[in-house]
Amino acid sequence: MIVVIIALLTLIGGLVLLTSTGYKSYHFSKNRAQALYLAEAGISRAIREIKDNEDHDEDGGVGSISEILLTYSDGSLAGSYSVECVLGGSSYTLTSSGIVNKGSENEVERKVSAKYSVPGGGEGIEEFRHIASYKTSCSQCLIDLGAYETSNMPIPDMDFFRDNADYIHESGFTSEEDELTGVYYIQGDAKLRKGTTLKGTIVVDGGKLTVEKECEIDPSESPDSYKRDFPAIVVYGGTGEVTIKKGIEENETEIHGLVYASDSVQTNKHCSIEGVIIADEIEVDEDNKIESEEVSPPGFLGGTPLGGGTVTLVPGSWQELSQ
Amino acid sequence: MIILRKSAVQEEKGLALMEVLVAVFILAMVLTPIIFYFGRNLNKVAEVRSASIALNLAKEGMERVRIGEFSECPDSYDKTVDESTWQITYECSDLGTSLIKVTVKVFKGSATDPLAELVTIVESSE
Repeated sequence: MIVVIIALLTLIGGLVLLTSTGYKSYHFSKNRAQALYLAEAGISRAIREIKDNEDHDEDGGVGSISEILLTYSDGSLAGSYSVECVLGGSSYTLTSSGIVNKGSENEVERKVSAKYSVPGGGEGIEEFRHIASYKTSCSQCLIDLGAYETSNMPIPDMDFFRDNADYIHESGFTSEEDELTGVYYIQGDAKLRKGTTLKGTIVVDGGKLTVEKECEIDPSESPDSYKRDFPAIVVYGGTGEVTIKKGIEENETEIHGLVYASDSVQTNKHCSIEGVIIADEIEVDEDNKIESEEVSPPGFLGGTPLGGGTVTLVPGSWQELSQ
Repeated sequence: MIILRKSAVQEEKGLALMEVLVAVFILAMVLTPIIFYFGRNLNKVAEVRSASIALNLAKEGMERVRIGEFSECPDSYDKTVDESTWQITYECSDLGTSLIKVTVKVFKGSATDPLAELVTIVESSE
C-alpha cells in the first residue's frame, strides 16, 4: 500500500515538475521571440529616420533611437527597444536591442545588428563631406540645427540633365532677359543677373554659378510638368561654386527647390531658400530663411539620401549579437 | 491450549472491520488529491502544448509581415494543426512617418482570448 502511494506521489511530483518546466520554457520562448521583434521594430524606426533625415524621436541623432516602449493591443507592456547608429563610409551600422521584462529576473534581451547602405556611396567613392541643411538659419549652427553630414556626397547625373535641357550653352551663360523658363544646361560659368526669374532649373557643368540680387528660381513653375520636381540649382565639376549675392530687404532672392554644389554654396543677406542645400561647404547668412522640403528630386545617381531616398540592407550584414 | 491456538490463528488471518474502514479512509484521503492533481496537470500539459503551437503560429504570422514589402495589413487566415483549427489575425495601426505597428494574435477554435500575441513595427512601402 505504502509503496503504491509513494509511486503515485512520485508520478504526480514528476508531472508537476514537467508542467512547470513546460510553462517556463514556453514563456522563455515567447519572450525571446518578442524581444527579437522589438529589436526589429527598432531597426524599422531607425531606417525611417535615416530615410527622412529627421530625428523623429528627438534623441539628438538621426538613426539612433533612445528607449521606446511597445505595448500589446490590450495596453499591456510588450517590452522596449533602442538603437545605436554608426555612420561609416557609405553605410550605417545599426545595432538594435529589444528587451522584455526589463529589470526583472526574467529579463530577456536580444540584439541585432545590420548594415544599411545609402545611395551615392560605395566602394571606391572618394571621401566627401556632404551636408544637407534642414531648417538651418545660420552658418555657425548649421550642424547643431540638424544638418546632415555623411561621407557619401550624392553625384548628379549630368547626362540626365543634359538630355532634359531646354537650352544648352556650351561656353558660359549670362542671363539677358528678366524671365527664363525651362531647364538650362550650361558648360562653364553662369550668371543670373539682377531681377532674373527662372521658372525651371539651372545646371552648370564645370563652372560656377552667380545669382545676383532679386532673382527667383522656381522649378515648380516649369512649363513641363515632369520637370517641376527637378532641383533648382545643380553645379557640378570645375570650381563647383554657387554664390548668391546680397539681396535687398524689399525683394529678397528666392530659391524654391534643392541647391546642389559639388564644392560650396555661399549665400548673403536677404535670401530665402525653400529646399535642401547639398554641398561640400555651406556658408549661409544668419538672416537667411532656409526651409527644407521633404523631396527626393530626380537626376542623382542612385537617388539622394534625402526624404524618400532608398536605404538598402547590405546582404549578409544582419546578425544577432547576443543570445 | 488447543482452543487458544485456534483463536490466535484467527486473529492473524483477518482484519477487524474498524481496521478496514481506517485503511479505506486513508487511501481515499491520499488518492483523491493525487487523482485531482494528476488530472489537473494533464490539463496543464495540454495547455502548454496549445500555447507552444500558438506561439509558433504567431511567429509564422509575424514572418509573413517581415518578409517582403509591407503595403497593407494582411488578412486573417486559418490553420489546422492536430485536428484543431487555429485563427491567425493581424491588427495594424499607423504610427505616422510610414511606420505601422503590427500585432499578430493566435486564437484556438472559437476562443475569444488569444493564446499567443506578438507585436512589432514595420515600415510601410506606400
